[in-house]
Amino acid sequence: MRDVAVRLVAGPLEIVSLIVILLLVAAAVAAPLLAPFDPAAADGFNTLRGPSSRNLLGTDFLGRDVLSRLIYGAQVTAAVAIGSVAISILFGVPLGLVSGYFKGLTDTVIMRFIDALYAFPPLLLSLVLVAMLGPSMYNVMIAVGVIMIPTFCRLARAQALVVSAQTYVVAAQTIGTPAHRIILWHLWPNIAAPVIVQLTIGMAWAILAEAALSYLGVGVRPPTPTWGVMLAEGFQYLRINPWLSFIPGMAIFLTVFALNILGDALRDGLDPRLRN
Amino acid sequence: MLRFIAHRSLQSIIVLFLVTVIVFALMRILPGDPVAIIAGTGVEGLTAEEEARLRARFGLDQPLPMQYLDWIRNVLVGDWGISTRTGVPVWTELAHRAPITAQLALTAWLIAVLVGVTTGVAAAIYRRTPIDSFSTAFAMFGISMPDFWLGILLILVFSVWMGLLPSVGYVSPATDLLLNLKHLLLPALALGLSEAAVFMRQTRSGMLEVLGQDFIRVARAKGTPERVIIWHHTLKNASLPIVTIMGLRFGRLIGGTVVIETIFGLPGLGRLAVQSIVMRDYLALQGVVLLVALFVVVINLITDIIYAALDPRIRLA
Repeated sequence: MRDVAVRLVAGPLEIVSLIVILLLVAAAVAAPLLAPFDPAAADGFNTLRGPSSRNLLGTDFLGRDVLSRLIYGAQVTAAVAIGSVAISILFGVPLGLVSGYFKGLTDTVIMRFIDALYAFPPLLLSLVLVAMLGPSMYNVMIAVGVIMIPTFCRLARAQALVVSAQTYVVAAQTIGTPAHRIILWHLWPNIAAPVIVQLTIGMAWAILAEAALSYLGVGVRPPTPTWGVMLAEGFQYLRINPWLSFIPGMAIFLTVFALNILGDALRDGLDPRLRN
Repeated sequence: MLRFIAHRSLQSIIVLFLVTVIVFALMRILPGDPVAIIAGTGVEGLTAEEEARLRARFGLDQPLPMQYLDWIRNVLVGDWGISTRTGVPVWTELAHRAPITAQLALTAWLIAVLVGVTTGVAAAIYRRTPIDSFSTAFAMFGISMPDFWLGILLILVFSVWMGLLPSVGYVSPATDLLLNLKHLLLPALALGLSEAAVFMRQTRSGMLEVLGQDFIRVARAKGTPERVIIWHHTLKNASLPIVTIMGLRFGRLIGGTVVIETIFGLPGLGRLAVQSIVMRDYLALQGVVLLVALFVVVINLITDIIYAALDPRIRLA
């Protein structure tokens, strides 16, 4: 654990990334305390303004405070990132473990289904799933979570194949340890590290997917402030006020960038071959 | 080799079958009555008799496996239904739009290959120099940058501020090739630069792995020129995983054009998918999803076969 902690604060980039993620979490948790204005409060006399001392990041086409909307938007971003990754781990990892441990027909059936799911381009499939389920934050979580299941399943399966060939697993099988116990007590703890690394990368992808769906108008619907919706609304006023598209885009970019940097740092810290 | 191709093709056929099952299932779970979806009308105004007649006409009174078989038979003969939004057969609509998406994806893919492989090779050769740092930072930026935001920034700089390139619309290459390329450049850059990051990472790590091997050390000890070592020995040996990634990512690009086509007003498959969702034109949506998924499966199969042809270890494994 110490190695991981050291890697997470190894350089300025990692420290900045940690700060970005902590800021996101703080904004998501304490949005009502941090936001200077109500994110839905329109002001017809104060529309499309640039940054000022009153509105630090300016106002949008309805005169709403961009900073407040950005802070509230972090709630959706954080919720979708955590929720969708939780769904994909909950289904993907057990499927991968069972597939890799039992091999044979079980493996073939599960993996062909996963291959079929993998054949669908992720964003297109999530688009269809949200259309099916209806536009809401929880449905976006489900849609994005489902399309990440193959990634976690393949990862868990590949690791399970390696670990289940180890002597200690063979020994456990020889003394008659039940399969579920071997999977839970021997396989899972030994594959947790790459799953944790994939978790951060998965969160980064989920944030991009949520923003894309909201941008297309099929994700979380206005007036709920999300960064994707803000980007889409800002795009309409690109010629008058490019600031409106720049700010939410930068927020998405910084968050995804920070998660990718932390994912790399975690991988280096958790992989014994890269530790030294 | 033939055995490998046969085995891999069989796997792809199973995956294709499952893909059609998933698309069929999605269509049945979509909100709204299937009669209304397929007929493009509401069922509210229909009498029970008319509704029953419509159900019988579309085969919806049959058990689900029979409905699936009917549907797959129609798909195989090119009867993909009628778009309720335009009244045009879905197949015709797809045939019009697929070339636009294919051209966009291909241009983006070429940009990605050119930029990604060049920076990847440079980063590996000049390891631990500013060139390596710059290339690695570029890759991290590319992976983290939402392509739709990059698209908006490109519009802002090249269309709004500099007025060099058009921001929306599409012109067929048959009408005016130069204008066609002008319309495609910005969306292709937005898509391609994100992909380039993936290729760069793969090229760099592949090159570094090969550069550390004994035969390279031997070549250097023999006094082989560095140019020959890099291009003939290293890149050739590192190219197999790069080629695989390139193949797989091309399939992904075809389905990844949704947002970019919407931003740049390109009438391709991605935009058709979004329009179909908004207008509840589920037959057209089904057509897009099925066509793109089939394409991905075929591209993956071709990539695997090329990989096996280049590397005997794969087909003998």
